Amino acid sequence: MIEGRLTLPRAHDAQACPALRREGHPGSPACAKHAAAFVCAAALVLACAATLKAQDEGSRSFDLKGTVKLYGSVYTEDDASDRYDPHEALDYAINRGELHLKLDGYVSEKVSYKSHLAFTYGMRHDVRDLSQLEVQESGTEQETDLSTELKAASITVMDLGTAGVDLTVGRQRIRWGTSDEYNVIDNLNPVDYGNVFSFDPDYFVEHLPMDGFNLEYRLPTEWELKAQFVYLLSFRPASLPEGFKERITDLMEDELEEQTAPYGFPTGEVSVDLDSSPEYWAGKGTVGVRVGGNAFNMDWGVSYFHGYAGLPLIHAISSDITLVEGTTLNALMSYPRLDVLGFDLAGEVRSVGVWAEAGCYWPEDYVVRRTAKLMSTTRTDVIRLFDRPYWKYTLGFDYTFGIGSGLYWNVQFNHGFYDEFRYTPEAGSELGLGRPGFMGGIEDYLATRVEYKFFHDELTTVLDCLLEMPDKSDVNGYSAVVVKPKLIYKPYDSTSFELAYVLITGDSRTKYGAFEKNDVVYLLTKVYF
Amino acid sequence: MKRLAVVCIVIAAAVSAWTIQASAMDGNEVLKKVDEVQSASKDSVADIVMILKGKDATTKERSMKVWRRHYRDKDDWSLLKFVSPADIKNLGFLSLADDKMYLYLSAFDRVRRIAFHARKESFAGSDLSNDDLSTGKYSSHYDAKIVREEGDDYVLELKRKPSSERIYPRVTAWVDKKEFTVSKMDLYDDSNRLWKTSTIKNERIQGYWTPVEISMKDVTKDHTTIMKISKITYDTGLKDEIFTERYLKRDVKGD
Repeated sequence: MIEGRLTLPRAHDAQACPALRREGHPGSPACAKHAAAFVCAAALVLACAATLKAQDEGSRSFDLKGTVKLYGSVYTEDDASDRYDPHEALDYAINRGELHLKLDGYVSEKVSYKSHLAFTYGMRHDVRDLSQLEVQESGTEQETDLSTELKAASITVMDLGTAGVDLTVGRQRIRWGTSDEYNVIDNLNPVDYGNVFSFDPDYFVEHLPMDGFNLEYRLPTEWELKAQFVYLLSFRPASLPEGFKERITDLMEDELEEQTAPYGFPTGEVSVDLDSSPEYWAGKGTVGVRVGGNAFNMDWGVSYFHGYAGLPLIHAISSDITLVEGTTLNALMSYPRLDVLGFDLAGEVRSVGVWAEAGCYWPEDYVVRRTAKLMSTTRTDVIRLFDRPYWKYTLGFDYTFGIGSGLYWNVQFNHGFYDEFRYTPEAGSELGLGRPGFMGGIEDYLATRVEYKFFHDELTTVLDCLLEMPDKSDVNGYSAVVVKPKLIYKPYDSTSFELAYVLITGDSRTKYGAFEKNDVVYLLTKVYF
Repeated sequence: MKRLAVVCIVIAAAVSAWTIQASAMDGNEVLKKVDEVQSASKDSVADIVMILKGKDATTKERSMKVWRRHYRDKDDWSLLKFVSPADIKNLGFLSLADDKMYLYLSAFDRVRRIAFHARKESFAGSDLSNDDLSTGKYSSHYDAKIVREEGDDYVLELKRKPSSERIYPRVTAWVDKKEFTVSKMDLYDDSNRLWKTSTIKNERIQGYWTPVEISMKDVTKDHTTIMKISKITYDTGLKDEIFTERYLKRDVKGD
C-alpha cells in the first residue's frame, strides 16, 4: 500500500525517444521513421482539412473557456506514526489551485480542434532564506510549485473520405466503458494514480491524455453500428503516488532480509530502478479496436486493447550477499505487455438504468528473475508473476425514486480496480505480492451514491460510500469503508462550492483501511468562464 | 339577388357542415391534429432563451440551440445544446424515436443514456423535466376526450395510456378549435395533484404555428421557467447525422 501525501499530476512525462538516446543523435532510423509517419499522417489530415475548409469557408468559430479552481483539504486526526506522511489534525493534506484554459473551435464545418492547457500550483510558499524574498529583476526567488500540462490538443475531421468517418489526431482522452466511475476496460489512457487518494473529485481515476489517432466509423445501419480504431503513438506510464519508490524499496528490504538472515549477515543497501520503458517507436504503440451498437434497446460494445500495463512491475532482483564489500540488492522494474478483451453494455430494464463491463486480461508471460550471489555461488530462480488470464468486471444500476424532486441512487459492484493484478500463488509466497493495497491483488468493491437536489439544483447533497472487500467471506472482519458526505452549493451560475468529509475506517491491511487516520475535510471552489 | 341567396345558403351550409364536423371530432382526433400542427414542418433550428424565475424574483438565464426533425407518422428527433452559462456550455440532450434519450456531459466528455427513472428529474435546474424534452407524439402516449369548450378552445382531458411511461398521468390541455395549437396545459402528478401549469404563446412563423414563448410553473415550488424562441428557421434540410452521438458531442458553434 502506498500511503502518504500524494503527488500532483506530472507536468510532462519524459517521452524522449530511446532510439535518440541510444544513438545520440536525432537522425536515428527509428526516430526518423516514427517522425516521418507522424508528419505524413498529420499532413494528410491537414490536407483533408484544407480541402474541406475551402468548401466551407466562413464557418469558422472558436470558443475560449476555462475554469479557476481551488482545492484545499485538511486532515482531521493525528497520525504521527505514518511513515510516509506523518501529520497532525488540521495539517493541510493538499492545498492547490488550478487554472484551466480551453480553446475549441472550427476551421470549417467538418474540421474542429480542441485544446486544454492546465496550470496547477501548490499554495505553499516555501522560503528558506530571506534573500528569496528580495525582489530581483525577474521577481522574487521564492520557490514556486507550478506545473503546466497540455491536457488536450487535437484536430477532428468529420466525414473523412466517406460519410460517417471521423478522425481525431493529437492529444486526447479516449473513454471506453459504460459504467459511471469504476470502469474495468478503460485502458487506453493511463490512470493518474498520483491523485487517486487525494479525494479531489476531479481527479478520481483521472486518465492521462495520450497522443495518437482515433478513427471512428458509424455504419449507416439501423443497429447504430460504430467501429473504432485507435492507435496511440507510444507508451505513456501512469503517474504514481508519492512514496511509491519507498514502498517498493521497503518490500525489497524485506526480501534482502529474508536472504541474509539465514546466514546471520547484516542487511545492506537496496536500490530500485526502472529498467526500461517500452521502446519509443511506432511498432510499440498502443492499439485499440472497438465495435459497438444498439440492439434490443441496449447499447453494447466489444473491444480489444493491445498495449502495456501503465504500472511498473519488478522483473529482476539481484542480490550480492557478502560480508567484505557489503550486501547489496538491486531490483529492476519494467512495464509488461497487456492485452484486454472487453465487453460493455448499457441500457435499462424496467425503468432501472443498468450497465455492465467485463474485461479478460491477458498480460504477457511476465517473470521475475531472482539472482542471489553468495560468495562464489549464484542461485537463480524464476517466479511467474501473473495468473493469467484473469477477469475484471463491474455491474451497476441506478434509479431515481419519485421522492420530492427525485432521490437518485446508484449502486455498483466491482471485481478489480485499475491498479490490481491477479498474481500467481508463487508470486504471493515468494515476493509478498497479491495482498490488498496499491498494485495488490484483485479485490471486490461495492460503491453506492445517494443524491438529492434542492432549490432547483442550487444545493446538492450527496452521500458516497465505498466498501472494500478483499475477502467476501469475511466482510465484517477484513474490509474497509470510505464514507463521503458532501454538499455542493451553486449560488450563481458557473460558480460552485463543494464541501465534503472523507471518513475512512476498516482493517489497516486493506487498501483503503491503511488510510484510516487520513480522514480529510475538503473544500473545492470552482468558477467557470 | 336570387343568386346571392343561393351563395349565402351554400356558405352557411358549408360552415355548419364544418362546425358539425369539428364538433363531431373526438378528443383523440383533436390530439392527432395537435401532433400534426406541431410536426407540420420538415425540420427546425431554434435559438432559445430559458429564464428561471424564483419566488423571490431572482432570475437565472440559459441559452440553447435546438435542432428538430419532424415526422408525421413517428416520433420526432431532437438535439439540444446549451450555449450558456459557461458551466453547462455544450451540455447536450439527444432525443430519438422510441423514447431513446442521451445526455452529453461536456465536463466529463461523456455520453450517458437517460433511463426512464430519470425522466422526472429537473432539466438543467429548470421547471421542465427530462421527460418534457421527449419527442413522442401526444397521441401515442395519451387518450384524450373533450371535456368542455371554452371560447375558441377545446378543453381536453388527457389520460396516459397503460403502455406509456410519461411522467404525467393526467393532463388538461386547451386547444384552439381552428388552429389546433395548445395555449395552456395543466399537468398532474401520480397522486392526481396539480404539479405544473404551462401557458404557451403561439405565432405563425414561415407559415408554421410556433410556440414562441412557453411558461412552465411548478405550482408546488412556486418557481417558473420561461422559454422564449429568439430565432427559428424551418425546413432547413437537416441531415439525419445531426441526430447522432457524434453531433451530440460536438461543441456548439458560437455563431
